[in-house]
Amino acid sequence: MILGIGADLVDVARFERAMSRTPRLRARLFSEPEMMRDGQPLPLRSLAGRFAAKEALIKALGDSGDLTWHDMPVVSDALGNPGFALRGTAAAAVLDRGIARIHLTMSHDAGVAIAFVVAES
Amino acid sequence: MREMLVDLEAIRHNIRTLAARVAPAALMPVVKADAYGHGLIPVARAASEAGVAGFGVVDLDEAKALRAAAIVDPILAWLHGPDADFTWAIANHVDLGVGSLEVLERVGIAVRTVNAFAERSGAESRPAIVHLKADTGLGRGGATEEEWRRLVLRAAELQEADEIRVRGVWSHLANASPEADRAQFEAFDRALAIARLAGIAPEVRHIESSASMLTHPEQARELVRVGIAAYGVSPFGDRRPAEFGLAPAMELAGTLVQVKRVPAGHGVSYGHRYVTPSETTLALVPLGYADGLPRSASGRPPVVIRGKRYRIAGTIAMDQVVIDVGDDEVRVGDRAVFWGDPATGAPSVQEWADAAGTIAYELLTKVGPRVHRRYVNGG
Repeated sequence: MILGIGADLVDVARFERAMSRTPRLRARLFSEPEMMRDGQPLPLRSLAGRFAAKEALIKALGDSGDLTWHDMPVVSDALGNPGFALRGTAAAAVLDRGIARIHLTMSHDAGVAIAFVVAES
Repeated sequence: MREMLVDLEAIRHNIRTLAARVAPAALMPVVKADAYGHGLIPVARAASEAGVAGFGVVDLDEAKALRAAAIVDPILAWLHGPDADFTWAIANHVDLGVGSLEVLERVGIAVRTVNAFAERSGAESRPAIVHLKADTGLGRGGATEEEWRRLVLRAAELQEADEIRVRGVWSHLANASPEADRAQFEAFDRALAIARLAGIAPEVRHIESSASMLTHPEQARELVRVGIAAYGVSPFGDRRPAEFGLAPAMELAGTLVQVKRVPAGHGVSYGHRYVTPSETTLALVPLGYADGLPRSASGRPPVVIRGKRYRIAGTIAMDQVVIDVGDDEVRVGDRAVFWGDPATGAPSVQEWADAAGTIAYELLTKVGPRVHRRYVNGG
C-alpha cells in the first residue's frame, strides 16, 4: 500500500546561486559520500536533484519533524538507480510510519531538477 | 561391539557437492548437536578441508568446542541463554545471531566491556559481528516485523558507533508448503528492504537450508546454511540422498554376541511381541534404545548381516535386539548394520525413521554415548 508520495522541483540556477552565496550550505545539506560519485565531486545540477529528493521525501513522510539533512543521504545502487541510505532520525521516522520501501526517481531538464518519492508499506 | 562408523570422505564429498550446487553462494555447514550426532570436531575438520565459508552452531558452548580444537573458520552461533558470554564470542571471532532487541543490547554491553579492556591495554577495539534474524513465519527465533523495525534501527545506531558490524541478515523456513515457503521468502525480502531503510547493508543474506536449497535453488543469496544434507541424508523422507549426489556418512553397527537355534513358537524379547513361526536361528546384537535405536520402531526395522537383509524380531530392549535369521549361517562376531549408506547394501536411516514414526535427524542425533565412534578416511 502507498503510504505517502512527494515531489519537489528545484531551479538549478537558483540552487547554484544559493550554493555560491553560502558555501557552507553544501556541507549542511549533504554528507561527504553523497557529494561524490566515483571519486569525483558531483556537478551542481546533480546535487540540485538530490536536494529535491530530500524535500520530496519530507513531503512523502508528511512532516519534517526532527529530520536532519544528513540522515537522508541520496545514493546510487550498483545499477545507478538512486535511493536513500537513511540513518538516525530519518530511518526512525520512516520505520515508525510502517514504511518498508521507498522509491525515488529524479530527472533534470530545462534548468530544473525534479524528484519524486513513493513510500510503500 | 557397538560402533558408529563415520566416513569423513563422505563428509568432504557432500560438502564439495553442495558447495558446487549453491555456487556462487557460499556454503555454511551446520555442525550443531555434535555435528548431527556424527562428532563435532572430526566432521568440522573434514568439512574445513573441503572448503567452507564457516560453521553454523546453535550456541557458544559448541563454538567454544570448535575454537578449543583450533578450528579457525568463521562461526555463527544463534541461540543464546541468559548466561551466554558474548565477551568470549567477540574475543574469539564468533559471529552472533541476534533476533531480539534484548540480545542486541546484551551484545552491545559485551562489546563495550571488551573494548574498555582493549583501551586499557592499548589493543585495538573491535565490533561484535552480528547476523540479524527475522522471523519470517517459522515462529521460533527472530524478530517479527514490529520488533524488526526497532531491531534494525538500534543495530544501525550500534553500527554507527562501531560497536557492532551487521554481517548478515537471515531467517529460517518452516517447510510447511510451497506456498508458505513463498510467503516466507517475500517476508524475508521485506525484512531486507526495511533493514536497508535503516541503513543496514549486510554482506550476506541467508534463508536457505538443506530442504529449501534443493526445492528453491533460486532463493540462494550470498550464503546457504546446510545441515542434514552435509551428512549425506536427504531432508525429504521420500527422496533418496543419491538423487542429490550425497553419500550418507554414518554407519551404525553392532557385533553378533550370541547365536542360537530355537524351536517354532519361541517368544522373543519383552512382551513376546514376536514369536518364531518355525524352528529358526536367533542372533543377539548388543545395541538397544540406550544406544539410540528407537524403541518405538514398531515396523520391524531392517538390519543387514553378511550382505543380507533381516528384520528386528520383537521389542527393542535397553541394551540389545534380536534378529531372526532363519536358517542362514551367521556367527558370533559378524557385523550387523542398522543403518548406513544404501549404496553399500546397508539399510538407510530413513527406513528406521519410517519404522519409528520419526525423522532421520532425530535418529542421527541420538546415538548413545556407549557406542564407540570410529572415523575413517581422515585427512
